Amino acid sequence: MLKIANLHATVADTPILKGLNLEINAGEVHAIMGPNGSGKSTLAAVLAGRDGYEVTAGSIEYQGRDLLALAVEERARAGVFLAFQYPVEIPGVSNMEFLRASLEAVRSHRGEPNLSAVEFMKLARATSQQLQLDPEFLKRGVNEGFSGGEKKRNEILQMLLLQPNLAILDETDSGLDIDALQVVADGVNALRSPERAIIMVTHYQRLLDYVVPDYVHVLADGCILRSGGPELALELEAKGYGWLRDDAA
Amino acid sequence: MTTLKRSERIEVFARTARTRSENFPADTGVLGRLRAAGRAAFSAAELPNPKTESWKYSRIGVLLEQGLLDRAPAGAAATAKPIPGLDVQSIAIIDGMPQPLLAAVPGVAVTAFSVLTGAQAAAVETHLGRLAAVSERPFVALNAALLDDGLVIQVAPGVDVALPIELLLAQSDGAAPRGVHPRVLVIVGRGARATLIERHLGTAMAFTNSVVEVVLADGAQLDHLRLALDAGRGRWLSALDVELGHAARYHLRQAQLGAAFRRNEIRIRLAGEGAEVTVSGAGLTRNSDHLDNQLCLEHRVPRGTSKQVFRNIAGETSRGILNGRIHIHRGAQKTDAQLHTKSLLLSSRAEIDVKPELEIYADDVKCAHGATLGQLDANALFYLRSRGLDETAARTMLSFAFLAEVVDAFPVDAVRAALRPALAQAFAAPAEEETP
Ligand SMILES: Nc1ncnc2c1ncn2[C@@H]1O[C@H](COP(=O)(O)OP(=O)(O)O)[C@@H](O)[C@H]1O
Ligand SMILES: [Mg+2]
Repeated sequence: MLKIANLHATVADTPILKGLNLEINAGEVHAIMGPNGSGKSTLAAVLAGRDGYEVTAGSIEYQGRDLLALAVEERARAGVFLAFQYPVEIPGVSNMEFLRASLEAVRSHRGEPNLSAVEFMKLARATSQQLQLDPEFLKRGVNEGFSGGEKKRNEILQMLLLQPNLAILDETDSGLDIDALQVVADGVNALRSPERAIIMVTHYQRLLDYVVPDYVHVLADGCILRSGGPELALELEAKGYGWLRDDAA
Repeated sequence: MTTLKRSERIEVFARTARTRSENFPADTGVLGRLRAAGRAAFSAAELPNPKTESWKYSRIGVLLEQGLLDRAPAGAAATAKPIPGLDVQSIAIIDGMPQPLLAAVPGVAVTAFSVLTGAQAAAVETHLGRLAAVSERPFVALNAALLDDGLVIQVAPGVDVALPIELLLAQSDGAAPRGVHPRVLVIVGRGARATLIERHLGTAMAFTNSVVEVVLADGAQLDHLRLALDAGRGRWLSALDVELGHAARYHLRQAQLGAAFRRNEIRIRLAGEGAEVTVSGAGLTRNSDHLDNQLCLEHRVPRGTSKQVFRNIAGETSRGILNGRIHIHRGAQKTDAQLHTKSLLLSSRAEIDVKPELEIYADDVKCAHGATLGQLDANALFYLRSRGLDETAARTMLSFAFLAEVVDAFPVDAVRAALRPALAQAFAAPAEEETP
């Protein structure tokens, strides 16, 4: 599904990703861990197509296509979804109209018929409830005045509505209490299927207890420093990142 | 069509207006006295010329066109669509003529100037024309000189009027050009509380030269919504003069589309200590529309607060103007005055002129102002696109949100619910073909 080869990317002329390789197949869940500032969000931003993140070398192939040639919205319509580390507040746009416009854009690209207003409302409410997010949040401005946890749940709400092929969750678990974590994890597990792939950027083993990854990678200084199975995360939890660097040296 | 020079057109306009004003039958009541004062002041006044600073961006030309001083034919009908789900006491002034009231709400008295007598006449005359003084304001004088009749709306002291009062200033649908001069005096008694929803309706080629005076007694509160959502050929010039007593509160909310000409001259005087004013406005101009807001907040006494927030969007070749003057008089200590504006241009040929003017003669005051010419937030744009919206759709959504943010904070649920789609429709409508 996703093949990242020798990816180099700069932000404001500073090299951040320095030859990153990663391959992800449909049906897999990958966890990416790593120290702050190692480039995890940069990788997520490059995958989503954010302005200001320049790819200077390497390639990204998504479902056999050159992902980097696609505009931001084309990637989204093709099934790439980024749950933001810091979801954006948009006062004046109701969450409902935002979700509806988004779902319409993605569904019409897939050749699926638009939902009627009533069908959409039902779906949005049911999904909100599944995430224990009061449906009143649908009426508020997008993320406006939401708490950190509510913003993260709103990201998962969008993910569940859009049903992406490749979901990238950037620290979606940070700042969640244990109940919210469970709710978010249930949402992610609900998406898990043989046709989809999920990348979870996280600092914590906690999330990985609920959503058990197939692979764990450590990103440090713009490269994948080590890859392994779920046991690697446990090792990191016990020992931190230092030993890997010492190992590599 | 004759092509006269501007100065000649102004002269013709002034002469025609004077003649019209002399044709009213003699009247010894409130109306007669108001007209006489208006006539005298108009004769003495000079109409704005290209050098008049406050008219720098609002050219008077469109008001001088032929027929805009003609009287409206009697009995013309206006189409005023009610706001869905809104329960109101409605008061209509159609083509400048107050319409009979259907029912009255307890605590609210509505009376035509023409039937005022005795003590009530005297009480009204202590305010009428005092706030909207005729001197040096030619169009306010013109209103007084040419009005057919006017209304006084009195809210009794201590009454909390739950039902909003809807004031319709409507142009009839007739094709004939005309000039009309609606006049309203609102008196909110001591400690009383009311909501006034003023709607400017009509798209005809007519000149509506309205004057609304609002007097808030000590401790009174008025939520004043002003909705002008009919673009079109109307020429709307609206004077709004407000005075607040001790600890009175006045909240003005405007949602307006441009029109061939739309200009609001708003003066708010904080005359009693501890008075509180908030003003928020959402303005949208499209095509060759014009929307001009001239505000003057006068802090005359200590401990007043005023907070003003404006959002304006201009598309195509339209023009938005906002002049916000804050005048803090000597002795008005502990005043807190704020003025914030954000503007957004949708086209390189659109124009928005924003000018804050601060005159501060007291030393212990807070006065803040900020004006930004809006850029859409790049993060928000990326967020929307990352959810599949194309760039145009995302930009449209964010531009509209820029207005909606102000409107979403308006009181009265039904008004808010009606405003969003009305503005969205005006926002999304395709641009008109330009006529040379
Ligand atoms: N927009 C930006 N402008 C400048 N530097 C940035 C920007 N975004 C990220 N960086 C820098 O890139 C590096 C990697 O950041 P990031 O990808 O956010 O790390 P992580 O998500 O792993 O904590 C950091 O040094 C950060 O300061
Ligand atoms: Mg990060």
